[in-house]
Amino acid sequence: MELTQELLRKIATLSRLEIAEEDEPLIIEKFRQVLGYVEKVNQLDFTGVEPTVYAVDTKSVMREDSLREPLPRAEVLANAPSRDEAFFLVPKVLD
Amino acid sequence: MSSDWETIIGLEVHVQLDTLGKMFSPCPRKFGEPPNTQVDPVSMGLPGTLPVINRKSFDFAIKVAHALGASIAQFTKFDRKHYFYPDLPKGYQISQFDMPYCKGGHIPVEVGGEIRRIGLTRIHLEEDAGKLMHDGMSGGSGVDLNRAGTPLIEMVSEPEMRSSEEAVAYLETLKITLLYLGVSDCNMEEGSLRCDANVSVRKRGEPKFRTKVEIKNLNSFKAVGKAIDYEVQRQIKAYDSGEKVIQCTMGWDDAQERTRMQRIKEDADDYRYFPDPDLPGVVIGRDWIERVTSEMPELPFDKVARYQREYELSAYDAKVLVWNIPLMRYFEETLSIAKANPKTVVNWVTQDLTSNLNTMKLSADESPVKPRQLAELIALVDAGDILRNKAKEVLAIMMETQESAQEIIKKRGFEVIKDDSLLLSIVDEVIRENEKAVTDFRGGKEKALMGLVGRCMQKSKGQGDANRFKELVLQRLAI
Repeated sequence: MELTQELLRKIATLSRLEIAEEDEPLIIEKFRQVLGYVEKVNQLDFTGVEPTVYAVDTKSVMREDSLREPLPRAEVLANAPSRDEAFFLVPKVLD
Repeated sequence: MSSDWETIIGLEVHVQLDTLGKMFSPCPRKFGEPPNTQVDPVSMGLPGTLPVINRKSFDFAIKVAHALGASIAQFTKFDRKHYFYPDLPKGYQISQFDMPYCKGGHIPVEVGGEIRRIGLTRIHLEEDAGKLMHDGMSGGSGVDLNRAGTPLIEMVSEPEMRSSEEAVAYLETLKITLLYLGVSDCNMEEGSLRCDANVSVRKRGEPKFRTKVEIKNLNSFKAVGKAIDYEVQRQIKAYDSGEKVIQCTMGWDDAQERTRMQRIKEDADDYRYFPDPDLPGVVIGRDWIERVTSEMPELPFDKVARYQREYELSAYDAKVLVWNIPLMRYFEETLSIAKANPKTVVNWVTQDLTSNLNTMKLSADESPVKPRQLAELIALVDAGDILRNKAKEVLAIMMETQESAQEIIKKRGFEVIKDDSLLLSIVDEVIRENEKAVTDFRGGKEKALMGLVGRCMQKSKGQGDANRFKELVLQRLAI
């Protein structure tokens, strides 16, 4: 995959990251190094190897459907930068 | 609708699973609690927290898949779906992307007496987001995380529905099936069942689909039907006047009864899915599926078929009962106690009981007269102690006073008159008082006989048996 300036900007938008224009060449370069590494791995011969989803072979553990006390609301909202009584307050969302 | 256009509908339904705790933490998730009181560090997405799967949510999901004849994956995993919205605290939703736990299956849909099977593409598990409040907030939007982390299944249908009626029937079947399975309360007003519709139209015979529009904000089955009809007309009008239909998301405006554009989909949503590293894959073994599906209830369509077969009910009667769970339970319980003819019990339950309940605005499980009491009344009718029509009156009194049938019958003297001499005295009186009818009958007017019997019934205040009266009248007039 060719990492272009356009693609970098799209990724930045999707990730809500602000990248200054003068930083772009450096980031593109670093991005290319990572992609280049993956490209190298891609060159290996995987014939007959089943793809895996995870790097390690573990199975998920589960819990039973039981309950624990929820957090007191004062604690839930303790670190909220902005609140309106019982709610977290965020800039007006219209959609 | 002009007949050269064909409607194409696919539905996406989100259903909250009725677990005690949330999908990935043992945090309560009761509806209607004060904002931000059903919240723990996992639902808030605080750094350092880790999700642990609630086994029950999988049990429920497997039940649904099994009931709908879908194929359950041996291996499934969770993926992170990234988007930024204030009701999503982690910045991603734990969902399933390319390896959902379930694929295929179908939902039988009945429209106009004809049953069609609508295919399901897939069902996957995911967590619900929080809720936003816009009204009455001081210069912003409020976030309530009570709902965040609630287990959901998302059920995606194939674009196989061809009318709004089919779409509504699909939802009704889906809902009743889930209610029978006991996996969700399917309450649309409380958001435990939510539906988006994908709608497009094409000329009949066209091989390809045209642009589809997604409709959101459908808060009732009625709204689903209306929104689809509106959108279909809008699209046909657009094509007929040479315009294009733009791929977009529409919101249904229930007050204005129209769809409104919310968002244009310029390019495909880019959620940057990747396997959630916090959650290893899940292996769904045979034994697990067997354990869960060994407790499957009889499903609505099977029950309808059995009622028709075993109880000789009409398709209509069977469906009336089966589609109303409290009434169905009431019926089954009454039948098991009464040991009466099922058809008789059906009539009592779907007609007499139901009309009383409707007047009192109660559902069958709230009925003041319990199945045992109704069964007693039915037994009294079957034993010939009271006439069917009089028993109807008794039931109405039972609903009011909660006395037993026997008490009411005794207290009010409603018993059937079994004494022939008493009945004969009524017959003689009627014959005396209705000379003309008697002459008519003797002159060959068969109808006059029923008039005389009717008079007898009236005089007996409905406590004489009509057939016995008929016999006695004939006996007297034959002399």
